[in-house]
This record gives sequence, C-alpha cells and structure tokens, in this order.
Amino acid sequence: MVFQSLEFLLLLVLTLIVYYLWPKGRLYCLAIANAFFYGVGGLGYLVLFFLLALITYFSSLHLKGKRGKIFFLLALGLNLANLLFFKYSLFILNNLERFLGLSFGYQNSVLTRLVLPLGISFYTFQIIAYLVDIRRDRLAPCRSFLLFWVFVSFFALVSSGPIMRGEKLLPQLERVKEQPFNSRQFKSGLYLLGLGLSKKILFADLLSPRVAAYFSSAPYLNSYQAWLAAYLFTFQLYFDFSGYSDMALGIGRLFGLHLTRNFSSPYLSANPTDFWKRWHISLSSWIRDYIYIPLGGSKKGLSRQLIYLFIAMTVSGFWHGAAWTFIIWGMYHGILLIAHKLYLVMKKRFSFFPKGGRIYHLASVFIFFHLTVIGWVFFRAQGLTNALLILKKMLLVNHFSPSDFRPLGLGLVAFFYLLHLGEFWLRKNQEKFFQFWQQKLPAPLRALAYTLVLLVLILFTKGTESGFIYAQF
Amino acid sequence: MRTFKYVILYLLIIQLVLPLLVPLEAVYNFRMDYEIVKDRIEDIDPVLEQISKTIKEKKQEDYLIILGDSVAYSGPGGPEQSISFYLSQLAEKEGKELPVYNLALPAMQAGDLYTMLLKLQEYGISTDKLIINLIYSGFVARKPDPPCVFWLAGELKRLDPTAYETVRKNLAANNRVDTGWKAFSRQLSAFIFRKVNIFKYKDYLARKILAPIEQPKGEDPTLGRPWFEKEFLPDLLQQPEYQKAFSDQAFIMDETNPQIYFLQKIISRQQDKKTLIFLASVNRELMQDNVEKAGYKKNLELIDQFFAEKPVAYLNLHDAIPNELFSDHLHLIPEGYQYLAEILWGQAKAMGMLE
Repeated sequence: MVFQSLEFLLLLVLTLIVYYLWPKGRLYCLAIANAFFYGVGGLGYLVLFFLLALITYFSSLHLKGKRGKIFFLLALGLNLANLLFFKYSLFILNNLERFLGLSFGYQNSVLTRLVLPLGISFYTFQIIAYLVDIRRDRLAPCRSFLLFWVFVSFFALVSSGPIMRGEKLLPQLERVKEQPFNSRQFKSGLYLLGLGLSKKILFADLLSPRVAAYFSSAPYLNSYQAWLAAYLFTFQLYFDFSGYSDMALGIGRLFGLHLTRNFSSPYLSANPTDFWKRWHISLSSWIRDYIYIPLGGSKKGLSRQLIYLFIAMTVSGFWHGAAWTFIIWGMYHGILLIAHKLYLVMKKRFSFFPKGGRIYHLASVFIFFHLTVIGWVFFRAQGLTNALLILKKMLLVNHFSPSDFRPLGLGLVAFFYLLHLGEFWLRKNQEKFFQFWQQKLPAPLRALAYTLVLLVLILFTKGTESGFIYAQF
Repeated sequence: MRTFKYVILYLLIIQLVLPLLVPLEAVYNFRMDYEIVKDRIEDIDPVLEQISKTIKEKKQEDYLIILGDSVAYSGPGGPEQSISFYLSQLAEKEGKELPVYNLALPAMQAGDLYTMLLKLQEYGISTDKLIINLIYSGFVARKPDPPCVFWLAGELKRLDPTAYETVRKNLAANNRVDTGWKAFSRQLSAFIFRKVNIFKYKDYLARKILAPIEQPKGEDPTLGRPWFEKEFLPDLLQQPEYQKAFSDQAFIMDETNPQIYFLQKIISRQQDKKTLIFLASVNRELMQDNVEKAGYKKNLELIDQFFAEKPVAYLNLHDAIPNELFSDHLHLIPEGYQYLAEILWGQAKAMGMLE
C-alpha cells in the first residue's frame, strides 16, 4: 500500500479519527493500523514480522540478565538471518557458484520465487539498534509488547524509514495517551505530507519513465545523454526518497509524533562528510553508531580510520541491495570519504591549499555534486557493464560532440537544482513564511491555493502503479 | 476551520462544473482512446458521460452505437481510419444527420458487450440503433481463457449480479475475481473514479496538460501495412494462442457457453430495436489451413443457424472482405475498414436505420 493511494488515504483518515476520538486506545489503534498496513502486502510476511518482533521483544527483556549475551545473540542472529535469507541468499549463492565453479542447483527452488518482505532492511536495522542500545545501557527494554510492536511497525516508517532509535520514538509512544490534539502540529503534518506528495507525484514520477528510457538504452546514449540520464536520476532519486521521508514525517506529526529528519538539502554539500550528514541521515548515523564507531572509528590512528570508513560505506552499499553495483557505489563513497579525510590532513600540513571563502565553497559544492552524480550511475544502472558503459560515455573526452548538446535538457537540470535551492530556502525561512501565509493571506485565497495543490496532485498521481525506489531495499 | 470550509466549497464547485467544461473531443475521437482506457477501465465513464451530454445538448434523437472488439475499434490504424470515421463520412456524403459513437475496445468479449449495454442504459444513451461485431474465436470453448468478461467484470457485478454469478467460475479461473483486500481496494477505486469528477476526468486532463512535454511516440511502421508485407506473420500465427482462436472443435451453442449466454441476454435487451450483428471477416489466404477444415466450416454454419432464429439482423462477413485488405489474420488496413464501413452502411440502410 503506497502513501499516494486511495486505500492508504482511507486507512490514514480512519486511523486518525479513532486515534483522536479514543485517547486511551491510541496504541491499540496504531498497532492494528500497522498490522493492517503490513498485512496488505502479504499475510505470511506479517506473521513472520510479528514473530520476529515477539522473539526480539522477549529476548530484549533478558538482555541485562545472566544469559544476556545468549539472548542478544539469539535475537540479533534471528533478525540478521531473516535479512540474509530474503535479501542476500540468492546473491551469495550466485556468486559462490560463479567464483568457485560450483553448482548448487537452486535455480528452480523456492529461493528464486521469494519476494522481499516490505521494509525488511529498515526494520532489521531499527531492531538491531534497539538491541545494541539496551546492551550498551543506553535504553531500557520496552516493558509492553504492544508498545514494542508499534515502535517497530509504525506504518509511517516501516516501508522505507527513517530508521528510528528507541530512545527517540519509544518515549513519544509511551506518552501518546496524554497527547492533546495540537492543531499547529497537525497543520505542519499536512504541510509535510503535501510537500512529500508533490515531490513524489510532480517530479519523481514524471522523471521516472524518462530516466528508465535512458538507462535501458545505455549502449546507444551519446555523452550528453549519458550525463543527462545521470543528472535526471540524481533528482528523481532525491524527489522520490525525500518525498517519501517528508510524507513519513508528516504522517508522524498528524499523530503528534516527531520522527527523525532524513534529508537536509544534500546536493548543497561541499564534501562527502557533509553529504552523509544530509543524505539518508537516519541510515548514515546508524552506520556511524553501529558499524564505524564499534570498529574503532577515529581512535586508532588515521590509517585504521580510513579502513573503517571504507568498510562502513561498503556495508552501507550492500544494505541497499544485493548487487555488485550497490557494493561498488558504497565503496565509491568510501573512497570519496577517505580522499576527503586525506585532503583535510594535507590542508592542515601544507599552506598552499586554499583556505576557504565563498568561491572555494561554491566550487566545492559544484565538484562534489558532480561526484555524487557519477556515483548514482552505479546505483541506477542495470548491471555493472551498463554502469561502466554510461560512465565511459560521461567521462571520456572522445565521446563528446558539440552537436549532441541540447540546451533544454540542461535547462531542466538547472530548474531541478533551483527547486532544490528553493526547498533549502523554504526550510530555512519556514517560520517567517508560515506567519506571512497565515496572517497576510485571507482564508478564501489560502483555500484556493490548497484546492489547486490538491487538484494538481490528484491529476498527476499514478497511485499504486508507482512505488518508491527505497521500498525495494 | 474557515479555510477548510472554503476548500470544501471550491471542491464542490469543481465537482458540479467540471463535466460541463470538458468537451466531448477531449475524451472521444471517433472511438475511445485505448491507450488511456486500457490502464484504467473506469475511464470509459467520462466518455459515456460526455456522449450523453452531447446527445442531450444537441437533441440528437437518431444516432448509431457501435460495440465490439478490436475489429469494430478498427485496430491497428488510427481513429481517422476507423469504421466510425468512415461511417460518419458516408452519412455526411448522403446528407444524413447520423452521429456515430464507436464504443468498441480491443479484447472485448460478449460479457463486456452486454455490460456496455447496461452502462449505456445507466447513462441514458439509447441503443435503438446498434451495430455489434463478433469474431469466430468468441464462440470457441474457453479453457479457461479468455475470460468471458475481459474488461468490465466489476461493472457486471454491480449492474447485473445474477449474470456475474452465472459466469463467476470462468472469471475466477481467469483471475478476474478479486477477494478480500484486493476486491475492496478495487471497488473503492472504481467508486471514487465513477463518482468524483476530478478523479473521473483526471487521466484525460493530465494527458492534455502533459501533451506539450511528452515525447512523441514514434508511429509503429507496421501500422497500415498489409499482411503480405509482414514476413513474421505466418510463423506467429502458428503459435497455440492464435491456433486456438480458429479451433475446429464443434461449438457448444447453448447457454453453458458464456458467449451464447451473453448473446441471448443482449438479444433479449434489444427486442424491438434495430440491431445489426456481424461476424468479422477472416483472412482466408493467411489462415487457409484453418478455415478449410470441415469442423471450422460446420461451426460457421452453427453460428448462422443460431442467428437465423433471432430477432436481430445478422451479417456473416467471414468471406466478405478481399484478402489484400487485411493487415493480419483478422484486422484490416484503412482501405479494409472503409470497405467494411460501406458494407455496414448498406445493411443499415436496408434495415431502415437511417430513416
């Protein structure tokens, strides 16, 4: 069930009505809505998810006891095994066959017919964070399964995050009974929902067929088209995933819950470190807290730090999908982070490196944006061969021909970048903007604007036909 | 809250005004737009609503409705190469005021044609003058495909639940019966798209708005080309799915055959109306091995016998169109559809449809 479908709208409205009319039963209301949302995708997967949650919950109650380590390993192992089985088993078997010259004969087995359970990568990481936080004494185990179920399965975030930490979401859920209806918060939820829907419906979905057409004809692209394909996918992915995340945040706010923001104008980043603080923030902070820091982080010297960075980013790539293209994308970002760390070290040591300033910053943003665009080619291309083919056309000078150049395409890219800047400006000035909107514009005019937005969204929505890119991870 | 009330007011205004602002041409051009309707079958409703509106506005009392499959739809050519276009031209040439509304759609089965009659009644569109096309394969036993209602199973369930229950088994065997959440979801969507006008017209309006930025689809080079220029056709037509359509096994001509069941219902609804049913032509040269089988010929006789006893006009056009006017085994090139339109025009005249 996708957020932009009529069925989801109905579920959301009914859940909100029951939620606000029956404060004492809010957790029950959310628990049922979550189970329904998840169950629509397949009853079997709901049962599996529910059982995993149940085992994790009971194990978490014993994490601080004598056999805490055993329970920790049991819960962790089960959740990882679930992820491994559904997401990576085929990839692993396939590569073992390829590299070891073996044959496992799984090609006609049930493995090849498995459908990836909704949000498996997201809920597994959320559960792992919960278990580790309890082991590290950063979080007290949840004492109610109802609360835990709502925490791991909240329908606003179960399919594509943000990956929430227990310390942030559980206290909010514990207090939902007392939460009064807050009209300001509700309006802000509607605004975020509208913003996310607009990004998804008006930009991501309209870009999707064009991007697909370019990437499916990789061998026939000229250099200009290869760049255009990469640029357009850069924006499609951003509008799709940040649109989803805005909707998730908005839905959370409708229920009075504050979820972690996942995006902060990432294409304005001047370097890779900055980028990972702005792109898929809940995942990058998860990778930092549960992989990079436990490995040793920056405490064991520069060379070790660089290795850990590379490992962490490779894991991040593998998390996205069971394919070499994702792993290479992760490695690529690992290399960018390493290069940036080394650059910072050199900059400190040698005086001839530029020290900063506005032009330096703008140049850094320009260069890093293009490095990001190059990376997305691995993320989107159908297989490594196609990715390398597109990159070759983008990067080798002999593929350039001035006659291929079309100003309209680049104009479109510039327009999307301006939109990105506009969003940055709007977020920065949203308080002022809301004040102006509420106080200076009369109700009929505001209503007209809302009606127009609603009409445009209805006109262009593709409903269930268009899923979210990150929902497949 | 005040703002919310205004939003509701604006939406109500749109609900009331939108159908009045959309011209017929935006949703209908000599036939329905298959590219739109195939993705959302509820998109038939705006077409019917606009035809109904046009009939009322222009006070049209005499008009011709065409129902059928890809033959009456006149694929693979464009709308201005369709039988409805040529029939309109013929009417104009003879100075007759006879609007033609072609509501045929590729893959429509007898169950869809019957459901369309129910929908036409719902929209107050008369079927006093009706032309229907059938094809030989419609009578072939379904094992279990094709479904006896290809497009409009949901609408049949709504408009004639008894008929739906009668053919439910065939529909279920063809995955045309949704249950549980899927059924609810589909019904909810169908209801909203039928009742809320902005949803009802959204696909047509979106296409209009996006038209300037859409990349034009290159025209299929095989469109309009005769069959003998398509070297791949003889081999393709040997595939089981095509061969099945020309089966020489004896037809079952009672109501256990969904085709007969729905035809009986169509004929009984069309009592005292001018109805012309024609059996589409087949490319005898291309399908020679099939059409010359004794069983096949016997089946054609069975169809003729079935209609001989019925109160509708029936034209067996199986051998009526010259082979060189086919674009494949069943469909025609533009000149072929013009030829077919002339035959239909002649018959319509003879039946007094133009009086």
